[in-house]
Amino acid sequence: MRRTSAPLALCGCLVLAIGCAPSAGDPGTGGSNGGAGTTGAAGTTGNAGTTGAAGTTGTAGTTGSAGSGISGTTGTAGSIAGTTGTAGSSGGSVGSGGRGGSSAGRGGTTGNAGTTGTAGSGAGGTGSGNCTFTQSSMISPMIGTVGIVTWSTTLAGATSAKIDFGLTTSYGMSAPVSTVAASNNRTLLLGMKTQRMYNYRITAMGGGASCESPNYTIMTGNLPTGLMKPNVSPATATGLSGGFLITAQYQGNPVTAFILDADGDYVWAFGGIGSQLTGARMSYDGRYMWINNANVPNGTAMVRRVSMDGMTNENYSSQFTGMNHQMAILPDETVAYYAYGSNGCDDVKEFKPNGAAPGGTGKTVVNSKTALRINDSMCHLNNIQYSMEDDSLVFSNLQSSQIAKVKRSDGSTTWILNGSSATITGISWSGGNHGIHLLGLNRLLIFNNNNGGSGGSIAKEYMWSGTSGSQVWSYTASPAQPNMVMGDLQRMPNGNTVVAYSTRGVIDEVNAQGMLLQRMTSAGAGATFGYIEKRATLYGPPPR
Amino acid sequence: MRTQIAALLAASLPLVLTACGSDSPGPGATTGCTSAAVTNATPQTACMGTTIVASTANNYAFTSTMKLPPLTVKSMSNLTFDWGGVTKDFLAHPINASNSLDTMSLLVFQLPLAELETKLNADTLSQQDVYQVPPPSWPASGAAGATTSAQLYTFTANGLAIPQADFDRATDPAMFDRSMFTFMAAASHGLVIGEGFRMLQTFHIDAGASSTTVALKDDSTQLTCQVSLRNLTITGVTAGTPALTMSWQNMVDTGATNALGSVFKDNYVTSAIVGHFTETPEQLEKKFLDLDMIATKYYRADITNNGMLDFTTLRTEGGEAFPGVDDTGTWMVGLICGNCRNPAPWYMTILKPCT
Repeated sequence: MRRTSAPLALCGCLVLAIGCAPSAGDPGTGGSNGGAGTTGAAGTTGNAGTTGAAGTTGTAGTTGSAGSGISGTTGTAGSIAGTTGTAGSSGGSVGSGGRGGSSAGRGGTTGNAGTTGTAGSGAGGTGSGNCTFTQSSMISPMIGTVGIVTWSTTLAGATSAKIDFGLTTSYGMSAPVSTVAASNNRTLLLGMKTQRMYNYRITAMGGGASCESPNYTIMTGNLPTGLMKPNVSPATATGLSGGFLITAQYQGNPVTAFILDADGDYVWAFGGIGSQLTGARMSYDGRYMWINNANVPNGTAMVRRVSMDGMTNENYSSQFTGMNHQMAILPDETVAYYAYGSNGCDDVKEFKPNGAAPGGTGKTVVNSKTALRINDSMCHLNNIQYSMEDDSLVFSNLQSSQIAKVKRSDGSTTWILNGSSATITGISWSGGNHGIHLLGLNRLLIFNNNNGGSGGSIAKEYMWSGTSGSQVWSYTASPAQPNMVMGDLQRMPNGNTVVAYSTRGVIDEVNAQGMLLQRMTSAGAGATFGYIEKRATLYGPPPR
Repeated sequence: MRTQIAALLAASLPLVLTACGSDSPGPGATTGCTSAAVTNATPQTACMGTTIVASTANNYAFTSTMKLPPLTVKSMSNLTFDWGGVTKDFLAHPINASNSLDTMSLLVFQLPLAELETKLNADTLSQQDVYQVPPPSWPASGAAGATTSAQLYTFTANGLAIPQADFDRATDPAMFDRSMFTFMAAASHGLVIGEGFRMLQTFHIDAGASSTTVALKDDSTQLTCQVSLRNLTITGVTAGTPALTMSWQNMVDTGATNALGSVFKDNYVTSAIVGHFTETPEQLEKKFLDLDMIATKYYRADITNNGMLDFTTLRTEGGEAFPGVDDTGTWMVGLICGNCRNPAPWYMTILKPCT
């Protein structure tokens, strides 16, 4: 695979205006000032203008697919386009030039290709719908795998859109656009690997019509040096849930919150904000990543809200005093968390950015000692989840090995699992607990650290009815994975369960029968995982 | 103040290029480097001008062996960990046990000793080979002061007290048979658990043993290595200019191996070093553990552009810029995988002016 240097790749900004109204693409030679193809199918024989100067005024058709014009395959034209944003604009005059221009982004490293390939002879294209797209793209200067596409369309009444993207023109990933503005729509391409050429295509919809842009390309850049791809074994397996894994680097370097794709490749990372990161959760609307540190024992909480393109990095640390471990994001973007309390037991708290919290700090829902109905001198919470069905919060306490649900409205306790104050019988475990995943009002998964026990940590599923319940499923890794602190898990839509033995740097995906399908192990020395969240797409609301 | 959970194993290993002077190991020596056989009587030079392209032919070769002779102590007892007898670390660099060794960790490896040594030497030891994370450690917080011993029952887990019953369970030979587990006392500099190890002592637990002391000594860890700098093709560069670059992307793309025999993976190199030495390559082979100590000039740079070193970014600790290569002494450039367990350079070659 060809490599380009990061700064150059980061600078790749392709500006294309590609004609796509069905038009006959006459073989052309020069791209300058070319008019948009207007009538026909993509030409297949045209020689992309290898000598034509980049046109800047051509009005390209918007939906024509590029023909086989040479410019499209040489990819040189766009190199200038990538850096100057002009070359590609005329390619559309005959269709294929635009394609050449888009390839050019890769070539942008040379900076001397602008006069070639823009002319695009022969293409025109077979676009659908009468509309024109104007678009440009760039890689985020902060995160080398995030593409930023700025675009507009002439489709009358466009109300929604999407950008399909992927390593081939079959795409595979899609960025939804829920509202379409008249101009300067800004859409992020998330989930791309480093140093790869990606294809993308915009589709606008509205007024009972839709139209597609031609294919464009964008070259991704680098992520922080030293990110070592985890070992994934086996590399592929039948029945995996796929999707993306969001977590953070608790120990080891470089310390980042990051996202891995189904291949275990890094597709997003943001660091330089402190050490011992354990929490990473996307906002409900998917625009931000909340990142926090462990803060154990009680020191200084570090909480940031970083836009997914990395361009905005808001420091919320002072609003989250005493916070530790991780957080849960509610549909209205309220953040549920827990912070060290004055009585030795953590407080369950909430904070709403730009709003609800009194005095700019979190409000206390309830003190965990009160909620758990215990007299312990210390309660150390380590996980919180939101129960949408009854607008409640469920939290995990290490010291008493208990999990409890409280109402957001008044902090009253709904139920308590395990321990001396349990309200549900038939459910018990020992040795501490961390991550939890709510599977309904009367069902959940817990990561039982099983400290002091044999066989290592255990993923357990409990179910109850009324005040009586039982364990209905469990998974114990082989060889044993004793994980004293941290640990998380998640049930996937296909019935698999992902179990993170965080401080051992191991993440297992097992099926409903408890069969290990795939194991991911950290590669860096001392590299450990924070809490995890797997999701099928990096767009839309979180899975839990 | 100690931070928490262990970044385990980050430095549990073979080599660190920081060292104090040590000559080549003499007969019976337990630590030090030797030269590999010279197979290339007349060193070749490949002139590359200002644009260096790394290749296997230009790379040095390195192997190391770490031996960890075990003690046997009484199981399920309040063991004493005594590091007062340590005067040199496992790189044979002098240390003062009372002020250089700050943390003692008890590591339990889910491996028999022979396999532990094998994995250490192959640099394949992984986080999940450690049975208990974070490992019990001492002290609970703050500096240890001048103390050179500690009792097991005072160890904590990330600063939290551990019940005695848990210690006894964790040192029960019925649960932790030596055919499957190895215990290690790891003395380290600094208070971050899992980092800065300076001496390691393995031990077995046995109900019939009388000793309850795990005593660390200079030969608790025995490290030897073999280095080859004279079989590589010298990298010829333009003299007197810092405007040099070195790319190793082709090694990544072609699946080439690094000097340690592992695949040269993408994005693993985090820093680079350049040193000037008065010694010959043959002498440097024997003083390989001391390179940064004996260099007349030692420059380093973080790699920010994956796969490429820009020599103009190299600086000494005092901020002095790399001036370029001249024809005095020996110049070498090395690439470091800072997040790997074995800190020996993945790539090291000799630089020489070439027209």
